[in-house]
Amino acid sequence: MKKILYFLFFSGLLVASCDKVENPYPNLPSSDLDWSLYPGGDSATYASNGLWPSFAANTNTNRNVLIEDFTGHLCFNCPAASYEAEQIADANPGRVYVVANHTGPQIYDPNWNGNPPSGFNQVYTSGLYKHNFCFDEGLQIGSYFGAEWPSSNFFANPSGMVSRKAQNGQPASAYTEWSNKASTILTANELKVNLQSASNYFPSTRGYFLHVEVDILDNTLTPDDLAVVTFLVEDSIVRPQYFPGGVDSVNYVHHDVLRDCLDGRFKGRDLSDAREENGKYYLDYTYKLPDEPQYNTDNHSFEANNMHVLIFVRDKNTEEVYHIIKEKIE
Amino acid sequence: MPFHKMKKIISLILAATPLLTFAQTEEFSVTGNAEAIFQYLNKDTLIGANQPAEKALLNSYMNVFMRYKNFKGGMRLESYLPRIQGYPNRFDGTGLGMRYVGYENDFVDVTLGSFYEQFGSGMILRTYEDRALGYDNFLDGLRIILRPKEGILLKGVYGKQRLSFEDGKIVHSQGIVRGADAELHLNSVLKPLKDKKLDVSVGASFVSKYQKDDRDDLILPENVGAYGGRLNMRYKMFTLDGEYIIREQDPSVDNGYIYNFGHAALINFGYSRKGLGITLSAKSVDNMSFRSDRNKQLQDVFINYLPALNKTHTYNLVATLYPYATQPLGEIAYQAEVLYTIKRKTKLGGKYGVTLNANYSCAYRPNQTNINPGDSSRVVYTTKPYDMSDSLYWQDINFSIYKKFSKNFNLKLNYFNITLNNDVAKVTGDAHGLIKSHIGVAEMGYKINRKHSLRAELQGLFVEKYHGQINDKGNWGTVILEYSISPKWFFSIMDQYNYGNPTPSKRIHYIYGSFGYIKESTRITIGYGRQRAGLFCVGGVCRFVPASNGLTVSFTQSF
Repeated sequence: MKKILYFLFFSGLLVASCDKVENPYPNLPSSDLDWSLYPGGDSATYASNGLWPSFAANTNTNRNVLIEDFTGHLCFNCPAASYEAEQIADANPGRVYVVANHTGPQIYDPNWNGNPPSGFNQVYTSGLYKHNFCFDEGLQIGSYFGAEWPSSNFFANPSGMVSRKAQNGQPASAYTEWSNKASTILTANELKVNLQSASNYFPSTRGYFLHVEVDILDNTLTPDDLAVVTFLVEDSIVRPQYFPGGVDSVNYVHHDVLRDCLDGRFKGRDLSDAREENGKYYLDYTYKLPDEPQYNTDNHSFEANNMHVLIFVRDKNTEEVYHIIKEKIE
Repeated sequence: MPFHKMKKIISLILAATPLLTFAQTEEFSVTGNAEAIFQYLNKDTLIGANQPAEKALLNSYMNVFMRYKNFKGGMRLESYLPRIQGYPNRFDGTGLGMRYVGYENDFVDVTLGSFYEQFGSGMILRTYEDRALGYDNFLDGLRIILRPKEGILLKGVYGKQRLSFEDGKIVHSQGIVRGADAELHLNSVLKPLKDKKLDVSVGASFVSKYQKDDRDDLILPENVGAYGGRLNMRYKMFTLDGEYIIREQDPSVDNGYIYNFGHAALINFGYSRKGLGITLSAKSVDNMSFRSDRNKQLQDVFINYLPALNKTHTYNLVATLYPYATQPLGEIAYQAEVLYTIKRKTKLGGKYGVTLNANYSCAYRPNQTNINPGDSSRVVYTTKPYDMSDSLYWQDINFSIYKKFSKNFNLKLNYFNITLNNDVAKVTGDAHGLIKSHIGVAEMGYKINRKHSLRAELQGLFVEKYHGQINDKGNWGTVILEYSISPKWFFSIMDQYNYGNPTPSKRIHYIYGSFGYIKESTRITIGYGRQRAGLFCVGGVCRFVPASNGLTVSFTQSF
């Protein structure tokens, strides 16, 4: 009987030696992404299908520029500013990116009771101007750089920022200054932070997966100093625009309209929270492309092929944008 | 010759003398057998037969088994110069293909070297050799069998499987196989069951294999376990056996690297009395390709054996045109067989009686509920034992009647209705979907006198049309005539005629003639003619044999 016990004991050892694999795929970087947006499975399948990017060495040496145009469809001086921003971008292809934020500091008025605020009326949606270009984070940006910014000179549209680089403590300026500001940055071309991105879009779920690599080139900066912001931008929206002289341009084309922040944070995600590998920082995003804008008042729907994402790195202390890249949604 | 050399030779002869003496005692025995098959092949473009560069091929082997008191040893020398057609083309050279030494007494049986073993029905572990198939998956390592008490049998095995035979040497599989099996005959072990008519045995097995994880993109289980139990019962004329095996995650080339567990279940029921035999069998298999190398396919290094639940046919057209190969990835199979003998000296039975046989077997695809195929667990479906779908893999309905009309003449009539799903159990490249065939065979034996006898077979195979077109190669007819002069000579001629081939130029006669001479335990057979390409299957294990045209000489010897 003793021998039988020995036999069973050794058999038990053999049984214990079986391997059970719960997840057959090699470990992935931890990620809190919404995998329900990936129709092919989950994180492991996503990786096994080669969708998780492996970034090559970043060969970019140029610092790109962000122009944030604070505008409004009832702001009759705004088309001129928008035109100027587009002109600068067209003159510097791949180097200057424009975003039109239909907001301003006066919008952020907690006492606003629904009556049109004075100054510019971009949230005013009635009559011909039914379309509401606003969204929460856009309003927060307007408020932050307008009402909350110390001694803000941003009191009316059109106004704008060029890579949020401050002069005399003020990042906002009139559109007539944007070209010079952009040229100064482009000429200096001080690339402090480099960026790379890759993305996948799945139409069946409207799921967008964005992967960003951040490389800090300026060794005076640390991840604690920086944050990564992601803007969802919609282009070429044909909607009325108010022009000087009381002219309603019914088929005006609104370019590069800021629609959302992928992570719901207008200040973005701190780089110190990013995953670090070999001295570089990685951030991953999932975003369900909405069917329509946040405040939809005229049955506008979002089309993926008419949208893109702008990714930029801001200095958390100065708000300066050190670099920006564009990623398509396709 | 110098004196010191002479002295050495004399010493060697003297040293060998005791062995020679043992050979003639009861304590020492040598047994074995030898076989050689020689082929000289011609090119025959009509049937697609090629002539190898060497023109002639030779397979030969000899088994030698020795025993001295409790010690045992054995070996097999194999030679492929080069291997005959249909054998694995990597077999090559001359050398030791199997060897072992061992010791055995009433309590222990230990073997070191090559050994063949089976746990239960083999669904968890079976290593065996089938020379006709060129199949040999023995384990090379250690086996210990213990019999600690009457009715208790314990086995432990540990080794590497034979994968191939190259350049005269055994080539092993990558993985290591470990296993243990216990079998208890309860009537011997438990006093209350002693002398009972109900005879019960129970058994349990565990087998594990180790193979290094060789993929970067997947985490593979390096130790894969399989375990199960069995129960064998006999009560008067009834028998009931059952075995159930679970195999844990074993992603492999066979199953597309899925991480599902696998199972195999087998139930056999039997009833037997004089003149009547009934057997019923049911098998459920899912994801049970269990090999010691996850990257191998075809018939390489199977650790287990999944018995085929269909009748083993022997008639040429029935056995070789549409044979069924076991589907290790999944099948639900059933078989029923009745053998009944109508008594002699009755109205129906006549003077010598009549034997009737009816057999039915079928195999279906298991029902599998798909999980998201992209699920990261790679567990891609769920299934249950014996949960079968309506997707037919195989069906065989056959009847036979045998009657001896006189002392000199007997007749056996057979009908086979075989349906084979060629998309799953592929046997031909010329057909799609289900191949439905009807086969009739009449076998006659006529004893001319005490030494001379004649046997004839008439076979016809008729394939049902598929969407109005002739399916596969169409209809076949076969005639076999055998003439025997007992006990030494036999002559035979066979003509297989593919008269129904949809391509007129392929309506070919495959004529093969042979004769043989037998003297005691020596047998020499010489044959010449055409042999068509096809699958050669034994017990659900199949190998493709190409077409050939030429001379075959075989020699067998046992001692």
